[in-house]
Amino acid sequence: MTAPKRTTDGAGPAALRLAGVSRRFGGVTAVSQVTLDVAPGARHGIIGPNGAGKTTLFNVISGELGASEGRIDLFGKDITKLSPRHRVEMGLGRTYQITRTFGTLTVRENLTLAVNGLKKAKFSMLRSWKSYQAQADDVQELAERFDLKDRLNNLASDLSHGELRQLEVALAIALKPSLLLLDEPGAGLSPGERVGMRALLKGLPQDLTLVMIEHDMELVRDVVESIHVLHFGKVVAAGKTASIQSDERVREIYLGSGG
Amino acid sequence: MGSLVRLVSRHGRAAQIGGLVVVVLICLAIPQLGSSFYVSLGLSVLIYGLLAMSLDLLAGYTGLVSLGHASFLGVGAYGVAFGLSHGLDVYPAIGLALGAVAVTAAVFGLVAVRVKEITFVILTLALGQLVWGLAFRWVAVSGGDNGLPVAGRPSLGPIDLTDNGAFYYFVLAIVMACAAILWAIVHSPFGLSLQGIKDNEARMRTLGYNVVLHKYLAFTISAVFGGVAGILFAFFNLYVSPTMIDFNHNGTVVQMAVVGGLGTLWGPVLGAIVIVLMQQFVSIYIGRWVTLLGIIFVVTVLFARTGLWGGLRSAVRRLAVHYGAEPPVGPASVATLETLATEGGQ
Repeated sequence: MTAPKRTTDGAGPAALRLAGVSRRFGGVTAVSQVTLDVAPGARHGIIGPNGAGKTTLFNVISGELGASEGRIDLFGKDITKLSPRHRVEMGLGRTYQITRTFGTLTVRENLTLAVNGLKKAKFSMLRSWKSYQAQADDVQELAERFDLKDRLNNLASDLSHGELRQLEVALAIALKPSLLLLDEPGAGLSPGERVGMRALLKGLPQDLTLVMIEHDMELVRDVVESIHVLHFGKVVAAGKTASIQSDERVREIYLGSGG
Repeated sequence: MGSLVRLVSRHGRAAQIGGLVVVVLICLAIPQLGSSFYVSLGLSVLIYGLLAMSLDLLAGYTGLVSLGHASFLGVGAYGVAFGLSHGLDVYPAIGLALGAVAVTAAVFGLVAVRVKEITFVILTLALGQLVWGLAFRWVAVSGGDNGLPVAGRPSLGPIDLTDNGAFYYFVLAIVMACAAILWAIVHSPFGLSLQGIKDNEARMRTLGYNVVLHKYLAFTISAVFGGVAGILFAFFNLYVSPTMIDFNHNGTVVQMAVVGGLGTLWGPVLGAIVIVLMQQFVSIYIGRWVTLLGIIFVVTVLFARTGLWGGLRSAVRRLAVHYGAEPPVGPASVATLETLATEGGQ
């Protein structure tokens, strides 16, 4: 079956559209006039040196921070004023650069919380959460996909850093988002773990739109097709991955202009 | 001894049920001891146990430690006393009390769940003092410093509850029913969501949870069960006064929950037993028994995050390991053990 609504040539509504989005903290402009379009099903990267405003931009898109100006559309609907929770309900998922899993709970409980996140069952009070078979199956399936099935009964705080990064992505995927914001999925991973993460990201469903912040250019090259480069909160370059990599300005930003 | 430990730990589920049966049997046996003193001691433990358990839903599971929880005991108790002294029958008076608790909780909750951590503690302290102030000063309603008498107890058809022995079984049945409901709640998807909120509120929001709503529900449910304890207290004590909801008593409830073990549900009942017994017995021998209580509190906070209940569980586990019934656990699993305690068993 084909999905005629999903076009990458801009005929349908963009998965994510930012129009002149800025975020100021007092006198500091962390994100300045960012405009970008991500087509449904696209894999998009956002790169830039530390302090470029990448994570702030993610926080504005996910609604954890309000936009000081500009407009954000998710699948053709204006979400600029919506709360983070409503954006999640509309299919926006995200992961965090600094792992935000539930350390005092087991992996199974972590995943169950995520699986229940958009279900009515989260308000159910008189039945054990373990007795929901559909959710238990989802948890099992996620655990297998993210290589956590031997860790289901361990506390999240007992996991290795690499496993936590997997759990972090699994929590976001559990909500079955249509657009996933990945904030440095490779942060702090060993070279070996990066290989696993790369396979994991490439294995995500093809119709899932990805926007990824990442420093590891190898990971970026393998996963994304196009890139925006942020510097001091502004978009300084945008284009296909290959052309950005050879872009002189981008090299200057990363390596210093020598001046 | 060793074989007993092995037997118990090999049949974890059966052992839990066995333990529960023993506890229920002890509870049932207390009035048969023929001492009215033990009966009223048992009643105190049951009522304060329920109050501390209801606080645990909020403090232990949701991470919101309230210093005003005795207020709901107060509103429930005063509701009954007020209704009865204004010509209501027993059951309508109970209805009035429950309504008053629900309304108070719904209003306080609106304010309280918007803040967290120390701000929540201080805010609930203030709300608690507000209720105490009303009880103390609003003489027309509360009788002020003199308090209010509670005229009569409910009757169950032919069973007369004016006798403390019969009343004890009535209270036991209600407390066990409430405990069963609270147990179900903490093991439900909603209960799990509360633990998630305690752990990481921001993350829960990005998983689609309306965190404020969940906290509000937890606050209100916790308060209503506290109110049930208050209604039972009114019929037990047959008299209500501002003292039972003063700062001291608000603190005592928190102490019971913490000493017994926050987030363990049964722990707070254990805490209530320890503290009620200390009030009754240790105070005879040691004038400074409150100091002793303070020391126990500090030691628990420092060395046993899951309180006496958690300590007891790890001790049982260690015994099991010692007798070879279970494989030894590495340091990483000590934390897992604490979650086991937190969950109150599988």
